[in-house]
Amino acid sequence: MKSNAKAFLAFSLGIILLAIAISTNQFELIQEIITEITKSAKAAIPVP
Amino acid sequence: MAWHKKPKTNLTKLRLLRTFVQFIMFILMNLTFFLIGATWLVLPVNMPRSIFSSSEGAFFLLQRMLTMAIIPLIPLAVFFLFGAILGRFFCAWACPFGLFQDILGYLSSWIRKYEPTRETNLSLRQIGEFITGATLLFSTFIGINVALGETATVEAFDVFVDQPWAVLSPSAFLFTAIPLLFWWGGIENFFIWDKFVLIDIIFWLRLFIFIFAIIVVIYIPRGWCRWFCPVGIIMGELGKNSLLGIGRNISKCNHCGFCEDVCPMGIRILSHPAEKVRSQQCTNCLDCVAVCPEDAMEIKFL
Repeated sequence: MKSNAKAFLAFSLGIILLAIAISTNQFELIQEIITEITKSAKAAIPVP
Repeated sequence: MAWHKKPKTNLTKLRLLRTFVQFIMFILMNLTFFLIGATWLVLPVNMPRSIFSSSEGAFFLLQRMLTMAIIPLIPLAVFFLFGAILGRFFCAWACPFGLFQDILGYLSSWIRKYEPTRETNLSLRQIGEFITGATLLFSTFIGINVALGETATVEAFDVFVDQPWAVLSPSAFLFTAIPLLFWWGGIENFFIWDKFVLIDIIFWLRLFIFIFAIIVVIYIPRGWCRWFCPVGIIMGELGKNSLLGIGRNISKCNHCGFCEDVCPMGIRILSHPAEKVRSQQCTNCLDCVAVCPEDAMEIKFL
């Protein structure tokens, strides 16, 4: 398979994954996960 | 004679421009330091989430989602989309750990650099492939146990449960562990040394890997990127066939080898097809384009 065809295949797969992510509200989930990670990172800093 | 030509002197300008872009990207990825909130921006860079991050490294998020038994659609989409179009472009122009390696390279420019053979390159790259594969398998294993409610099994792995590679990664040590250690209690308590009670056996292990990474990078330019970085391994596989790449104009090329001499990833450019450099290591840094005296190296799209 030509390299450009492989690139377009990977790109299409990326678009499909992104479309499924959007349709399943995964961005909201990501926001929650990231907020939780940031909170837990900050919680690891004890207040003297 | 053509091969007596000198390399073009654009290289310093290009490297300065790249360092500037890397700094800007580093600031943009750490906007929380300036009290701007965290975002869901996910990028294919070796950057774990720290207390200052405003974006997330795709590989660290991938691990996090796998260990939470969630199908990691967004990190995978980020890898496929960026990899298919730009290849390892972010490694050269945006990755904070890449910037750290470049700075180390500049500071240690008086030390003689080593260029490993092709066989050594391939062998060492297998270590990175092992790290990537083992991390993904272990994260999936944790995710399956989480889904099955096997809490005892999950808890047995202690600190490795959330993002397994983040525990050992030198970039996580640099961008999360060190700031956390010094930020403990806020800037007014910066020099209270009692906080070093936080240091445990895992800390020493992380410190050892971090020092190892520094030594590798001092002697071999971008040594960590070349062989051990999981983001580089994934993006390299996709980047081999990326739309953006570096091509060589056969009619102009005189095989002087300046491009190979300056390539920070040690790619034997002249042994690749002229149409495009199809290497997992190429980060599209453009050093070869800047230095070519015949303007034979060119940016190609499609």
